[in-house]
Amino acid sequence: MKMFSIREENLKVFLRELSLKHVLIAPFKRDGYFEFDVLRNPDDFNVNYTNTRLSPKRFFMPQRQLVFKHYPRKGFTEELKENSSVVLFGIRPCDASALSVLDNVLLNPPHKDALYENRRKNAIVVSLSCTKPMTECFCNVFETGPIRGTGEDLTFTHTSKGFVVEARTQKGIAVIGEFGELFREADGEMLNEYNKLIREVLDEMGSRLKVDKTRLIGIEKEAGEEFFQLNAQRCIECSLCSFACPLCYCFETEDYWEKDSYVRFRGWDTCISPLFTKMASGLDPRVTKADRLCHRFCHKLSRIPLTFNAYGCVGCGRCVSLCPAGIDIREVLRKWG
Amino acid sequence: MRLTMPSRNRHKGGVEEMGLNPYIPKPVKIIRVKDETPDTKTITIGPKPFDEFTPGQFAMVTVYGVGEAPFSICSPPSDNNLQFSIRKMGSVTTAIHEASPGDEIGVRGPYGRGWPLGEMRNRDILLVGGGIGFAPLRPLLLHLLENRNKYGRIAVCYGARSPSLLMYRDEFEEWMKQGVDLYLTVDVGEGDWKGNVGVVTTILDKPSLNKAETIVCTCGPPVMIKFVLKKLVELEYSKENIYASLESKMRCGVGKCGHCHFGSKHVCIDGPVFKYDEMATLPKGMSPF
Amino acid sequence: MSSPETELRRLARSLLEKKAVDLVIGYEKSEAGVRPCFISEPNEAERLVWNPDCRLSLVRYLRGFKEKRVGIIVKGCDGRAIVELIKENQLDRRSTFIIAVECNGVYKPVKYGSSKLGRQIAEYCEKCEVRISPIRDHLIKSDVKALERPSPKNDGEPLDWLSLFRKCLRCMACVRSCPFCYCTECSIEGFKPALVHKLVDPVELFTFHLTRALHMAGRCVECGACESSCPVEIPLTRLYHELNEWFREKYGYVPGVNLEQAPPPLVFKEGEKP
Repeated sequence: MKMFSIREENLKVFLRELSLKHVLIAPFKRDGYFEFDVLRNPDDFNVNYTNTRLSPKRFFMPQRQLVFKHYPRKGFTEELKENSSVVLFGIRPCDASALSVLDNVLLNPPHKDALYENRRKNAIVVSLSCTKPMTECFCNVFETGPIRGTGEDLTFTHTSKGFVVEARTQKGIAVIGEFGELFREADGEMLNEYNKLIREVLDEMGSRLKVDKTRLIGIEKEAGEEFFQLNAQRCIECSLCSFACPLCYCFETEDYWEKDSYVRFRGWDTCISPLFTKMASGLDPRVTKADRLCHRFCHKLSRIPLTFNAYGCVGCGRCVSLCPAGIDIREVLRKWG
Repeated sequence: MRLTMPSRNRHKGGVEEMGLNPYIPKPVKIIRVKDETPDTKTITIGPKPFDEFTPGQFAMVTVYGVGEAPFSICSPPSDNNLQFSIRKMGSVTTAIHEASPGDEIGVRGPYGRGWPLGEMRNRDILLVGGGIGFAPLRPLLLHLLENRNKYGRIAVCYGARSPSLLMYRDEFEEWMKQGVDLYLTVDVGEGDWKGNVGVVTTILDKPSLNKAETIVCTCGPPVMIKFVLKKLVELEYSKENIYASLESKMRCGVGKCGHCHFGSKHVCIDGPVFKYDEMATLPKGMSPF
Repeated sequence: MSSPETELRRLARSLLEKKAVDLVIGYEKSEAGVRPCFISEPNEAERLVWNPDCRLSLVRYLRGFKEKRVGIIVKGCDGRAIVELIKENQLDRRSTFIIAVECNGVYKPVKYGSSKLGRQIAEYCEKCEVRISPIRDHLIKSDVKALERPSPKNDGEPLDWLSLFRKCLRCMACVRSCPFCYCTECSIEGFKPALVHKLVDPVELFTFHLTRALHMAGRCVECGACESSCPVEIPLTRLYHELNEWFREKYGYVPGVNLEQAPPPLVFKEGEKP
């Protein structure tokens, strides 16, 4: 795809213009952490951030979302359509790649997830490359970063002479076209710096964790029960890993009566919960904590790849850093990757 | 923070009308409720919310305000209405048991892969059911009987814990009249039960069929499926021709919610009917082996 | 004098060799810091570590080993939790070997994407007055000076709890890491009609946290397991501390310091007004 560039001082202009036409969501600092939220003042945006503590998944799959309202007396069902256009600016390549995995899963025909599709269709995703990955990160393993991800429309990379901008989709090209006066073609010098940056960052990350992904398909047999039992002792069965994950997509539904209608909500669920596969009859194909933990790892590393042709982990490192019991997916990768 | 403005989109539900959202159930009325066994009722709903389906497929049934659960369709495709046999278990099934004709429920489907009708042409067919596990086999049996000349001999081995838990008892005679070899068994006899006593594997050797060519379809509790599969292989039925319908918790029915993702298979889209060798690839707990 | 870590390893090894315990629950080094470990072989005792990153209370793991004799490494607050649990009939003192390590406070965890630099002592440790477990079978003294403790901050400034609770994801990490949340089914989850719905309704987060707070009053030992596990860093211990203070004034009871003193909610006094 074509490479463009934008001068550093023009970024704020670009953001301001974007925020006039769309709902602009970008990370900004709050209580010592960066979080995504509606950016009202482009001056609040800071290029030098690591990553947001919680993933931006909630803009596409909210923690609680209305599926339908059913009015028994009037005899019709109503669903809510959301139509406003959203720009997610400054998402990291790993989190952007998570969206492309979600696309593979949730937009897999014949039944597309309409609620997700609607939000995804109305969003422009602009990623900002990581030039200084955190110690927890391992996106190099799944080729989901640190410079380019797989789910974004535009990729911004900070260099000493401004931003290198790569249009990744038609949507991205359209945005560049719309603000043509701010962008120009990237010159050779800039591209040299950009390519050097890619090599440097990848080398640095490769030295931390190098994995042969193709071997992960067989992880379930190789890892054996003992490994998962050992980690299951530690696991406290909270839902933190799944809720923080940028692509844990499993959901639960709940029905109740609200004022004048029956409603159904859906929201995040976690396979670590003992109720996840337990049926009303009491039967449960995954009884032990070790089975559930095994499923969590295997689902990400071999089951999603086998079913949806994408890896279920993007290496953002959130679960590694946030797990109260120190359960570490890198251990699995290092051992069996 | 409200990110997006909701706009109202009214429709009467159902997949066709929506075209888009697979999660909206279509409201239908309950026409009849029949007591099948002490803990199971068969509800008839109509008109049918979808036209075609394969026996063995399931539908998601919503009790508005309570929840949604997957149930095997137990009426044949030719029927104008739709039937589900439902055992009282959790909140949704309890609410259905409390419902009466005229009540509104929501249905969406049909989902999943049904029994392999194409494979069955001109072959002998053996159906093995246990308890409520006969529900997905009934539409198959009725469909086979409607198209009797297209298929070979049909045998049914059906077991339940006690005689009163045998479902569709009032139809047995009709089935036999149409040429079904019906073998019944119960774990514990009661009352005037004169038939076989023992688990269903004890009667599996009774039907005389062309074993190498017979298609076997089985459904029941996981432990029953486990031993039935073992026994069938012992009796030299071909593994190639053995199918079983498995159950699992489901929330979406269309392979998105992750609850029924076992191994590389979704029970809701790759199943609930699995072939023998497919079941062998399922992880421990889900695999009947 | 040997370091506490060396002493800890030696003790764990000998306990396992003598078969005085079936396993020792302690901390081991992990790639991201320190994590709980479960040691049942004497030669694995070398894995044990002791440093100010050992923050998660190990007491919650005891309920998973009810049939076993367990050696457990405890800080002051964790020991207090054990005292309370014994009083609530949740723990068999005879099958638990308590290894008390003198605690100088633990560091606040540095979570994903933090822009703060340097390690900071946790806020709840600043208030702590019990650095050694009141109940123990063996004491390991610390060789380092106590971490520099800033004088306790004035808590006069009220926190905006509503906006803090709004951040909650209800991941249940606070509940699951707590030594006292031993109910097999949480009253918040298993109530019908639902007290708090399965899926997070922002309004109900307040109900959830207040219900939990009420259950913690007069029991919480302020070990900070909930607060340090919380992904959005809600200062829960501060809330429970306030309740404990109120409890102390009203009933003269401080949880976990005295094995003989019964918890007031478990005692019926004649003429007592509800």
